[in-house]
Amino acid sequence: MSAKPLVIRNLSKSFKTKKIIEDLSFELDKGKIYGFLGPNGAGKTTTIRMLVSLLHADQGEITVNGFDLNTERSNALSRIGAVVENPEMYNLMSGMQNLNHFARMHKPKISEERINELVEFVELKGAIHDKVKTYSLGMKQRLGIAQALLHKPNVLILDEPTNGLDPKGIRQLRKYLRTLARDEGVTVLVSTHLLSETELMCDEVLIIQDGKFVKQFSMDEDSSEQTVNALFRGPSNQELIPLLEEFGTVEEEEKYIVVSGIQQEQVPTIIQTAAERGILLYEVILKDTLEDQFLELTGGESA
Amino acid sequence: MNSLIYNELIKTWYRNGVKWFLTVLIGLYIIVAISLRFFLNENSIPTAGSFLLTSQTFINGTILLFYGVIITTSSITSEFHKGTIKQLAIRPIPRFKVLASKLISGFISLISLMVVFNVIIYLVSVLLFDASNASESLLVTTLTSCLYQIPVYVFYLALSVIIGTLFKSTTIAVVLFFVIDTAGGMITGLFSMLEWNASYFIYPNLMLEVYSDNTLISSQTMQGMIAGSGEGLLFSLTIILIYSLALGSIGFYRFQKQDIA
Repeated sequence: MSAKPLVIRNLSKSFKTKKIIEDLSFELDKGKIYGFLGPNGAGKTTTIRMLVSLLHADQGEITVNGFDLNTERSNALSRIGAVVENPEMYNLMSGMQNLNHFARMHKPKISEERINELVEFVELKGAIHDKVKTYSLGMKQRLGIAQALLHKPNVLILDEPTNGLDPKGIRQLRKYLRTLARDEGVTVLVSTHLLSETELMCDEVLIIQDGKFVKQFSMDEDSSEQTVNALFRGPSNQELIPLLEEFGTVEEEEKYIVVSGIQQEQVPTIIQTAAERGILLYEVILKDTLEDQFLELTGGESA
Repeated sequence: MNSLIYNELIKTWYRNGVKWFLTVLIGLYIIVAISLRFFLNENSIPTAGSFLLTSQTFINGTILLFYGVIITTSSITSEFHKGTIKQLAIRPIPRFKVLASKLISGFISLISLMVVFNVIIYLVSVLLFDASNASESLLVTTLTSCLYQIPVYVFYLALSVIIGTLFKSTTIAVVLFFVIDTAGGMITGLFSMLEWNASYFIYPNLMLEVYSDNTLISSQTMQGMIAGSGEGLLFSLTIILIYSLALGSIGFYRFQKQDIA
């Protein structure tokens, strides 16, 4: 079996006396999309900068497909593609000139076909010969993804890629990342603070806080066993309460009765029981579970 | 490495408006030359030799040098300001190669500009002005004068690298350029007033023309205040080399080690 695409062991980094990252470890599998979450200042960007050798770690080890970033820097970096923060490009040059520029920094030589293939992939064919300064943020973001993929990396790292993208752009991005992970086996690490986006985009979630690892979990496996908050509303909420109390802790919240911490698969049973007892329902809402989990894990700070 | 240098040259072309620099400077130069030739009193028209060397002193020694410092410094600082440095530093290329490509590209740009301008200077001088009584071959003079300029370029480019990496500011580079260019003479003068030896100070060693036995070139330096360090060509070249290596090493070390945030 080949080495894992990305393994991080006991990473630490301080700026002056302030510890930003402390003993952080995690590993990523091939062909999966990981959401990298944490409250502001948790150290997401610092971690990403260490992963691409912009910052030097004080301690710890980063390996990319088994290549140590410290001792085998070129081998490790030629397997990583990244957009760190904003997709900064040379504004006075065209999109194509930018891609050629970055292509020339890789060995073996990146073919013209590869470049054209990427231009099509990120749907920039019509504008690729225009100067980058005329591009919208979404177009720059797409050009950024194209340049990060030039050398067919095994790991793609994106730092806040949805920043400044409109809903259409976000959907496109999701589509690209899905295709890359599914069809080419690229491992994608996306730092973001949009939890709903993470739910739609990612296979797994990694949460850090105060520079420390908090939790890593899969988005799929939890779907049936995951605990959720269910919001119920009917013509008479008072009738609902005794029924719902049989399943979990009940709370009244505005016009809803909230049952927190129940298993998702219990919800149909509740609805069925209600019907059997003749209790009427207008609606049932399952609340954004990642947000709840996130807030619970990080002690209530927003991402 | 070649492809890195090629990248830097392309970026220089777009970033520093080389096209406009060439157009404007060549245009102005020709206008000035024609005005001198046709609107001056017949007796005050300079000879081809004197016009040639005045042009070279001004263009090679000040304008191009200044532009070269800007090209090289901004090739470093603009990457930091625009954030594109991140895109360069995450490639599987050692950082020192990235910086070396900038230094080499700065040097190539400067030498190419020097070639273009000196061909023009030579042609304008011999075609517009009287070259019949020149004491030296004007072609040889043009070339020799350029050669004396090259070590000076090396020093200033090394200076650009350290300023670019340490201060990340083109403005500081520009200010320092003028400080060295103007205060250098004063400091050397102060040294000699105090009867200190100024030979190890960089400034007098940059006046390499004083070592020339070409009468046109040495007559030009006589007009200046500074007579150079007077320790011999090899001594001055060594001093330039030591200063350049020292400045360059600090710049490279800093670039290699720094965290890019």
